[in-house]
Amino acid sequence: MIPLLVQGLSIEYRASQTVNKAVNAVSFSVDSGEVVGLVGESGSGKSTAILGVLGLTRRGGYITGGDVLIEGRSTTHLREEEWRQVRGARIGLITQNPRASLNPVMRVGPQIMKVYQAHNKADNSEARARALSLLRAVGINDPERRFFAFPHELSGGMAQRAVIAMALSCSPRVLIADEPTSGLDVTIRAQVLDDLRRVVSSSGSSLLLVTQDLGIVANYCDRVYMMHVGEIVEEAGVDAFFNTPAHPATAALMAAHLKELRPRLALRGFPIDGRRLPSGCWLHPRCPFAEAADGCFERHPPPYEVEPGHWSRCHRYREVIAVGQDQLQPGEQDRGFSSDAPDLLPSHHVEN
Amino acid sequence: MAAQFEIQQEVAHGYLGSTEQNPLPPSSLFHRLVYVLRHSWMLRITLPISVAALFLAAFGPTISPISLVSATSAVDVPPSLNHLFGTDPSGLDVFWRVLAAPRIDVTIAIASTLLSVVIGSMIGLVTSFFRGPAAEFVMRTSDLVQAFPLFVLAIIFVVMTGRSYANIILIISLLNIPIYLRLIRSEVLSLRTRTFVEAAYANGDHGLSIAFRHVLPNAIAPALAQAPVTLGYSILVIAGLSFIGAGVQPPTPEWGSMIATGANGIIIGQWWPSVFPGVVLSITVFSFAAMGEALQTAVFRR
Repeated sequence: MIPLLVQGLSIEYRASQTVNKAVNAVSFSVDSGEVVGLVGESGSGKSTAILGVLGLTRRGGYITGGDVLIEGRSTTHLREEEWRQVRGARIGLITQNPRASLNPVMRVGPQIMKVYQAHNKADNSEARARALSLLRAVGINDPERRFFAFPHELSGGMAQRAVIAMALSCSPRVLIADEPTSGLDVTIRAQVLDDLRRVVSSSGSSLLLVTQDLGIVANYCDRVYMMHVGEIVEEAGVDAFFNTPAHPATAALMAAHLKELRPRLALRGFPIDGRRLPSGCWLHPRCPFAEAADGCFERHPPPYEVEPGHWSRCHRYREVIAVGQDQLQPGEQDRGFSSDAPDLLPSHHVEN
Repeated sequence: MAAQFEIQQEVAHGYLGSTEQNPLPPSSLFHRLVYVLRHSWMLRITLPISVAALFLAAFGPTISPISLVSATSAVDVPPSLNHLFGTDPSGLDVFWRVLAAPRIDVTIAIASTLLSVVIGSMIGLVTSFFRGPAAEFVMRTSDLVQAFPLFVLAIIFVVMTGRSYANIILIISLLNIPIYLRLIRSEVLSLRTRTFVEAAYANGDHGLSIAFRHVLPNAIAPALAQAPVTLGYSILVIAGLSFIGAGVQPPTPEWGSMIATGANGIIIGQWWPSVFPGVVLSITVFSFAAMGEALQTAVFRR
């Protein structure tokens, strides 16, 4: 049974005059025990998509299509009460900014207790014991004292651990982490992520890791989905993702880290506006590979299978791979990715 | 941190006029409250007066050694040792009646303020957390109420419904509800899009529970800080209603009606039956208002 299967999820934001298609027929899956990365530039619809997985939208947002199967059960026709029993209990969400996702006037421990008690018939002492053991499990030292701390009394890393503890409180099968470390000190990131991976694997859950940090992807993920303008443009195992990037958006993300790649692979101009999608491939106005002869300007690319388990929505994925291979000369790779998180990226991911 | 520190210094030395320096800027709301209480000379004066008014509301009529309502022959006696504030045209002792008046004035004000805080907060919370046509209707109705001068509206309602205590309490609270509706609304509208509300939804909490347990505790502080101001102003409205004869009737001890009783005598030099209740009324209202201001300083300057 696949813990999380998303099929063709579409979400749009409606304003009085415009419609912004933030998520367009996105499909992905998270297998049990897997750590899956969801990568994409800011505004590519990652956060909207994962809220949509939980049946939630922000103000003005509407889910216009698709289905989310949680542990094999369709959620299309769930009523609001049924959804509430899914959220938090079957799927946990770790939100982006830990300090902001805790209620500022409520002590941390009771907040965790409340989530646990919302889904389990537990008296206060049982819930308290659960919250304390969770705080200990996510690596908070002196949990008895932190239990009574207000969120503003916690450091960023502590707050993130508390949020992780809250998401884990009902042992969900799938945990979604929305840029869990973006607000943290670089030195704390690895610790928090290691603890996150440890508690996820020890509880037998799967993890969907939303991030922009390639170092994190390389070190923690088994598979990666690349998102661009609300669309999954590339799916690959983590080795293929780094060694043979097959979509210009992915290649450009690599180029952002590798100086040598930049002249050939960097995207031009500004992010595509979801309210005015271009014809053909949605990346073509920015794409250094776009060719009229290949239909980049007219035909929207279907997912091409590059190799088993590796898909790319690019008419010219062969050229992209070729240029990437060409530029990735041996000896040049070790330098890459280091600007951001030097200790996170093992060199073997880019070597062969 | 530096900005917060400057703000606290401003609290201490600017508006509140303190001379002391405290090098440790307080962080939580409770600590800010204690800080403001300790550093404001305004509060050192007004807090005891407000407490005294509350004490008199509880015990005012019972501490009087003489009858407060039975007329005597000693009419219009000027202030003396026997009658500290003199006596009024019916021979009633002004001093003891002034001390007994909070039983009516402050009690009604407290009841109506409590009612308006509770009802205003509830309506404000629900209508701004769950928005819709009904919420818009409530807001426009409250606009309508606020468009009229409060006192004039109070007179009209009292004339329409009769001047029982219950009616006066209900009318004053009704007129104050829009203030709390707005205060709560402004907070809730910004809170409802905050990440921890989104996180609560993502954790499977339901809307009403989020509104009351996550949003309300974060939104209530400004409304609570406004309450003493409303309390003082409500006393003024009750006294005003009684002054024009629409509120509490003589001989029940009440500041507004006492001022009215003595008003005729001022022109012939008998100032004491009006001036003493008037001065005490002013001091009381001012004290509550100043206390509210200081509380608001603690709540809003963060």
